[in-house]
Amino acid sequence: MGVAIFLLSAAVLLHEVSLLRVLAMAWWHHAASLVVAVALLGFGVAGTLLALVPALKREATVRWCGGLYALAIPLSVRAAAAVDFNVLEVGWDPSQWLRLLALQAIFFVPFLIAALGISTAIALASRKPGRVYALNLIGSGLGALIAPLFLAWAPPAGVLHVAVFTAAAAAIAGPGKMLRVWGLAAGLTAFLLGGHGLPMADQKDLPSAPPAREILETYLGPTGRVDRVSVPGLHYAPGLSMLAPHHPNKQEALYVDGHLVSAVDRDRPDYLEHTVGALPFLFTEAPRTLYLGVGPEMARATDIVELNADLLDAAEVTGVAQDPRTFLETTQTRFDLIVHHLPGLHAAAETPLLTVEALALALSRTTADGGVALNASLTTPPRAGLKLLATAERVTPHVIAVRNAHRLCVFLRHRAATAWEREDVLVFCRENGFDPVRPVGWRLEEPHHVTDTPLLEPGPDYPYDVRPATDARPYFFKFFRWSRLGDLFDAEQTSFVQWPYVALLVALLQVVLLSLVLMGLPLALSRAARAPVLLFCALGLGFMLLEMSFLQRAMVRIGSPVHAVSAVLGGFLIGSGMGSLVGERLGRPLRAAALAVIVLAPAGYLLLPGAPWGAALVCAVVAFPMGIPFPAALSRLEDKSVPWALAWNGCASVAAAAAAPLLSSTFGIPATAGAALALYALIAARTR
Amino acid sequence: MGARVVALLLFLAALACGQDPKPESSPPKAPPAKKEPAPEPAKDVKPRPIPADWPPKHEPDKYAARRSRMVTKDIERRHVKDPPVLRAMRAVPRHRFMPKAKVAEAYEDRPVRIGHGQTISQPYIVASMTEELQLKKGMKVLEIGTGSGYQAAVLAEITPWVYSIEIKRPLAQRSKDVFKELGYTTIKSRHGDGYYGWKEAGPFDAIIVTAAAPHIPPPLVKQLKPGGRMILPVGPRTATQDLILLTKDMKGKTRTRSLYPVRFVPLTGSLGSSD
Repeated sequence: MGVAIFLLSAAVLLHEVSLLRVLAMAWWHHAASLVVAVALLGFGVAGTLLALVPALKREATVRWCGGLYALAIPLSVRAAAAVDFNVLEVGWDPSQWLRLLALQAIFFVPFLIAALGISTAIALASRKPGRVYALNLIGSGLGALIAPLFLAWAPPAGVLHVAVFTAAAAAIAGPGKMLRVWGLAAGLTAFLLGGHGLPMADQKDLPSAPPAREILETYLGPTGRVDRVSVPGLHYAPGLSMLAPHHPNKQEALYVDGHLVSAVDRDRPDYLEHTVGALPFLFTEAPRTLYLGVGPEMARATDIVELNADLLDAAEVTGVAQDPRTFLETTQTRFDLIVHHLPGLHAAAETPLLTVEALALALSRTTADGGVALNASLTTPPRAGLKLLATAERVTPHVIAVRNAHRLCVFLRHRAATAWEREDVLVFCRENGFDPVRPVGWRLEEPHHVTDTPLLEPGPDYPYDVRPATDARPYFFKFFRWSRLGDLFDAEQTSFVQWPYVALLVALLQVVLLSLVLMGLPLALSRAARAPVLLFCALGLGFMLLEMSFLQRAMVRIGSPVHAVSAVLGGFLIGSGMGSLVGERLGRPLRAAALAVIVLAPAGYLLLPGAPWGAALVCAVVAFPMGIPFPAALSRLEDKSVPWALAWNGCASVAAAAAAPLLSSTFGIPATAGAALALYALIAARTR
Repeated sequence: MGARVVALLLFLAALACGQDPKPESSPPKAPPAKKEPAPEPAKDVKPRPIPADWPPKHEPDKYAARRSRMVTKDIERRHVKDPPVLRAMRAVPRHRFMPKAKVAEAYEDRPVRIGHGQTISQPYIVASMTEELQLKKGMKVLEIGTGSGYQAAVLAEITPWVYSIEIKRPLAQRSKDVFKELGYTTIKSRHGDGYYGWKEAGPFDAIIVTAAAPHIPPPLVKQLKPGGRMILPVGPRTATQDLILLTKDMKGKTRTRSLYPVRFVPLTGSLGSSD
């Protein structure tokens, strides 16, 4: 059974990572999060199922589940393809909510099956769960580590095959001819059914590009699908002046997961001189310009740093494939200009390049007359624009900014502008119909663009959170204020709500409500269900909150999301797995382990290095004692309480994972880590 | 255990561009703002004679009461006051611009899918944008994005000279057929790239763009007459946009004003792209 549990656990991680890629390519990322967050509740429900149907608690269940899981993976994708879900219509088409629920239910099933197998194995070993738990953790860790490797050379739908085979192998691994035949049959059938992804949503940029488009090249990798497309008639030019004499015609565009990130008219790039982004180029002739990320103005760049190597290849530019922040920390070169490309990101996405500390770092890598430039879209009322100005002005008082109706360019410098430079900027603005925004004294008496909410420091009642992002709270695109929660229910205010952020809240509420519904009745009826509630909820919450806080910290320190996830998840899973094994031999010291976590975690958080392998090692050390409490607590329960313990722990883990982004983006990552440590302190206080 | 993978999804969900799609919803009441003064008509152009068959006469239909209720409840109550606009909204049979399967939704104040990845706009937005143009009878107006044809029909109830461009050929043809059926003989529509406007028919007293654009197209600004007004949603195509009013004074100087946030479906074709 050990091999089966190891393979099943690895299959789950392979499935989840590749499924997330499949959904991200088809839909938008926050829609994918919403579906998968609830689907993972299967892990909580599995424990309940096991408690209610004791007959399931046998070794064969693990292997039956392996085969069923292999079949459920491709069937769930096929079923999802039949659901006509459009996340953009959720606000005004009530039927989209039902379709969303249907999708959550569809993807819930395979996770439930897998979790049932894993929970059964742990329940069977409840007197000495350390080994089984360790195999579960280590298998998961391995799955997390190798998934990106597979995604580097196969499409996500293809990597689902790997998950299928691994799950089927869990059914085959072990004695019993019938179960082996079952595993083989399930694996083969699943292979024939699988290999399909989901169609890309019609409303994404790529499917709705002009009909004359021609896809020139496609790259598939762990960070996304990159398409290079010839698009006649695209006219993509963010910040273009309404008075511009030139505009782009035939452009080559770059799309990541169907979203447009850049488009260039290589034949006639002169329109770029009439965008707000041309501001920093007024101050230096032939500047050495570093562009962070592939974006619309990269035609001007002498150097480019882009995390996604496929994007560099597709853009046919020579650049460095590296995390931009890591590059800035290590480079010795001084640039005349550093230009950030600011793609729109999810509200709960960490933005390590857009914090006060990151902008200060970038400015320190420019020459004395140089500076750092960023562009942001402007909305009514302004959000990103105000936040960008606030962040920039925290770094340096010497900020120049210009805007048009819909776009802002902010330029940070080491020194104040001269009178000549001021005149150059005002002429630039006059000729293009732009308005200077900073310095405040440069603002025109009769601006070209009139708005009721000028780009000045807002009052305390401003509907959006526009405080500067910092490394402790690196969420530049989080504008939601909890004090405005009532806007959700006011028809005239709903346009101001940051719905993707609210989607996280919806996911959390769904998880909590479903958990209460699924667990509430047993809790009322069964003493066995009540026994493990507090301890196992605390263990689930504490473990997941701590892991999430390290993940969020790693996003800032390492930069690359894929490397951060691999390092932290791999380190935590393998470290805690080792701890679980060793803990068995040490007599399962629950309280000592909890205290060790409280001591090690703060040090690990503060010392987390920027190198992925170093970060993985630190995470493994911190997680080592974290692998002890769960199996230790499990071994102290009566047999009939064990499935309930698994259920509570599963639900709490999922809820913590959904809550962590909300906590960190509101109170900061240290607060999330602190909450986790408080839970471990509670565990230590209440156990021996 | 498995739940920690939610960490994966949440962090991998932070990858790549994730535009900020926000469900389309009714925009808030426009913030109290100074109304731009009505433009003076260009004095050196002789007004064209109004055709005898304008405006078209509509047969009474069973949806008239619902239509009237929609105007009272969803439009007038939200501060759209211009009498020609309200008359137009009461006159145009919106249900005739919808697919048959969606007719029952015709008089709800929300957008509705019409196929080809497009929607027919929310009635309040149609009325509000039309009001901002301050149209008078005899003015010439250009619409970019014919779509279902509903907006063009509303415009054509106020002034006969309506020009409309649609990039999707099936929609362009379908709307032409509906205009003919309903007697909108003065609407000139064609299939084409709206980014460049309609130079041969210009300049225009008013221009309305009915899908999200990432920037204000310079060719359209050039085709706007001195004294003219243009209204368009500007912003990322799959997120919230700003409704922008552009005015050109008699000396040709242009000014823009942000009105309120809106949520238009992406315009496929030349204007459709994200920041």
